[in-house]
Amino acid sequence: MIKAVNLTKKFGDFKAVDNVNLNIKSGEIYGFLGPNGAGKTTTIRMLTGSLNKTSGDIFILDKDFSKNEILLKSQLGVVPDEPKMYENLKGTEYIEFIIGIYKCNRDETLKRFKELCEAFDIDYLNNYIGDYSHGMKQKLMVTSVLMRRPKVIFLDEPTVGLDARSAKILKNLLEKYKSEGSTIFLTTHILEIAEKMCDRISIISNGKILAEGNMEELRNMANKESGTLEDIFLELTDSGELDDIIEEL
Amino acid sequence: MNDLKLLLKYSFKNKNRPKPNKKGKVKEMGVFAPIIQYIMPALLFGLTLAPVMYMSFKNLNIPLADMGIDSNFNFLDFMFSTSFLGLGVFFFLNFSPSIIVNLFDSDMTKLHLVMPVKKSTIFFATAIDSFVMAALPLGMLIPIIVVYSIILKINVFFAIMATIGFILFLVAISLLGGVIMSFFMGKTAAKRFAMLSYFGSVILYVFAANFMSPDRFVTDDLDAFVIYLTESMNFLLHNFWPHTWFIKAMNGDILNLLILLGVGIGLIIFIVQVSNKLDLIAGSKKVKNKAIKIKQSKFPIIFKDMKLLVRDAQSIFMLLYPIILPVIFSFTGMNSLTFITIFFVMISSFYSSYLTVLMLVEETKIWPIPKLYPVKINNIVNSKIYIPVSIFFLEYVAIYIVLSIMNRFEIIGLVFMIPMLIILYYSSLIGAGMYLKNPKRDVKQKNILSGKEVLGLEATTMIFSLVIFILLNLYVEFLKVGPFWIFENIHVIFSHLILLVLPIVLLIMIILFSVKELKKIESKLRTWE
Repeated sequence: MIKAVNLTKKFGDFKAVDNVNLNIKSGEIYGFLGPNGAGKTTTIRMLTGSLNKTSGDIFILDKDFSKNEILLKSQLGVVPDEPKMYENLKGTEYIEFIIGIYKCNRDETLKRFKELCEAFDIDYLNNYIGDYSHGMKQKLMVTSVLMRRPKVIFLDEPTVGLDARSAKILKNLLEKYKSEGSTIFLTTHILEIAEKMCDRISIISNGKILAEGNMEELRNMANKESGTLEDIFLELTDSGELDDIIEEL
Repeated sequence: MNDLKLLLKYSFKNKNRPKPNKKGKVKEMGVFAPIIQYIMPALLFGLTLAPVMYMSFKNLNIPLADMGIDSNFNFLDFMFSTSFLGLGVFFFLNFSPSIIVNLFDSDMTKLHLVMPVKKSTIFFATAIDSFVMAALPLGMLIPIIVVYSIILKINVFFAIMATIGFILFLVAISLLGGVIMSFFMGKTAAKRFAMLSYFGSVILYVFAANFMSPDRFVTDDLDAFVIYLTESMNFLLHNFWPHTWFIKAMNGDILNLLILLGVGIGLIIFIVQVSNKLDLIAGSKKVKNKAIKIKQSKFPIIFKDMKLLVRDAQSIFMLLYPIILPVIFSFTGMNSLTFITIFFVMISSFYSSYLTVLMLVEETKIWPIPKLYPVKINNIVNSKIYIPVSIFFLEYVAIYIVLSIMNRFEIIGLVFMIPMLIILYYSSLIGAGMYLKNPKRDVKQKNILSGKEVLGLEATTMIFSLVIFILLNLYVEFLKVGPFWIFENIHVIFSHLILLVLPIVLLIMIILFSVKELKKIESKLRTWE
């Protein structure tokens, strides 16, 4: 479903993403974790076509992304790290635009959208987006993606700004879509979410993937017989002796 | 006061990220540099206006009593009162809503609110920050006051004190407007109000042009003239108006000077108190969904771009100004197709390029989301080029039709549509090209393009449009009346070459430049990420 081969991105001399290889199957929730500036968003931006890769290959739904960019973009759903939308449009107008630009079936999509609005308690669509709070924007962004029922969904920190109820609904929906065969690529700093939801997880640092696998495999890589994803993450990303750092502060 | 200085210092620093020069040295701008940048063009405009006003009004230093009107005022007081009133309202309409927009639109307000700083300090810092919006009316007002003082030989002390008082009053009343608006307006409402105020300014200008039209004073019926003057004077120089206090203060009336200064200072003190009680965070009224009505469009990008365009105050002003200008001209009797076409093409070509820039800014604001859409990025950019071109072209067609009905049908107006379309298209293209040279601009700044870029756009669009249209119009005159002054002593073939062939060559050049620019844009779009 999502395949990256030796994916690399350079900004000048700086390698933001360095020979990353991914192979994510259909019906899988894949967690993509890493510290700030590790290359998570850059990787997502390359995989979704919003950033040109320096080298490497990307295949989505078994098609070469560079040769089928427009077709594949219409089948992807992307919830970016920031819910940026046209501030001078009303919520309804933004949805109209998304339905139009993705050439969705209007009636079907609208039916799903209304259901999602009820679930996420969205009742502010007649207001201008510029007047929304971060959380309101995030809910609209999430629903505008999910209403299209894309086969592949990329979510970059999707729970940021969401209230507990909305975050819970989103997590349950992602589980449901997974069971229906969708592929979900998720980045989050909330490691409990990743641990609970993801079938496989990869940890990236300084542009390179340090480890990849399910929880058991990650524990083995970190030489930890037990422990949470947080322990493994900190171990693998060489976060230093945190107790000493805190003590010094 | 120290807090205010500190907020302003870092606000200006934040707005004017200095670029290193060729030697790599970074020269920081002074705190007042942005204000000076804004006020200078306005002052230059005012200074060019001043000699014209002086020449027009120098002989009108006539007491109204001499004209049989029971009044202590002078005819000049009456004439200048419209300018003082008009520019005062213009000042308010520009300055007041911009305070609210700035206050609610700035990310810094939220940050300042959690700092140990008084709300009034934040409000005043924002107001000073927004003062650039008042630069144009202020830049026009000052030279007019100087002309008024010179003609009436006003005492320097009273002139300076009254001017300070009047400007203080205008600032205070605008601040009061800002405070009142911030109580009940959200960010979007303030932006809408700012947009309306632009309209208000233009309508006011049309009204003033109409009101002060020389035609109104040209009459053989002296009684009717006196009645008209008396009624107008009673309205315009009523004691209710602050500009009447100003005129009286200028003429040495200490009581009115004290009223002017007192009201200004009193209002400022009042605003300091009230602004401490402001929320300073835009609350938005929630409009509950009655029913979600969503249509489907076959042209989602164009519809979206159109909506965004008409909801931006600056854009709507640019869209309407070239068509409002002929209306203003028609009030002053200048409604010839030649004259209006030249002005229209000169303004609309520059605005066409700038509107393309402003529309691209909307995509940059949400970048990189537009790259996720399942369309080629060229489609997104093309819409920004075609929309202003189409709107201005349709405006020209509308003007042509109206003028044909009002005056007479001129076939040349139809012919002009071809160069008009070519120039508008090229202007939009160079706007897009210039913006895409560096699409990662700080779009939160008021000046999206640098001064150099704006000048470049202005020069290119205006020179091409002016040269082509002036020459073509001269050619039409040449065909009608034969060779005239500069062409009298040269062979007729050169007249044809200069007046017809040269603009055609320029148009062909523009077409070639457009093809080149399109290729440049294509390559820039490939690397826009």
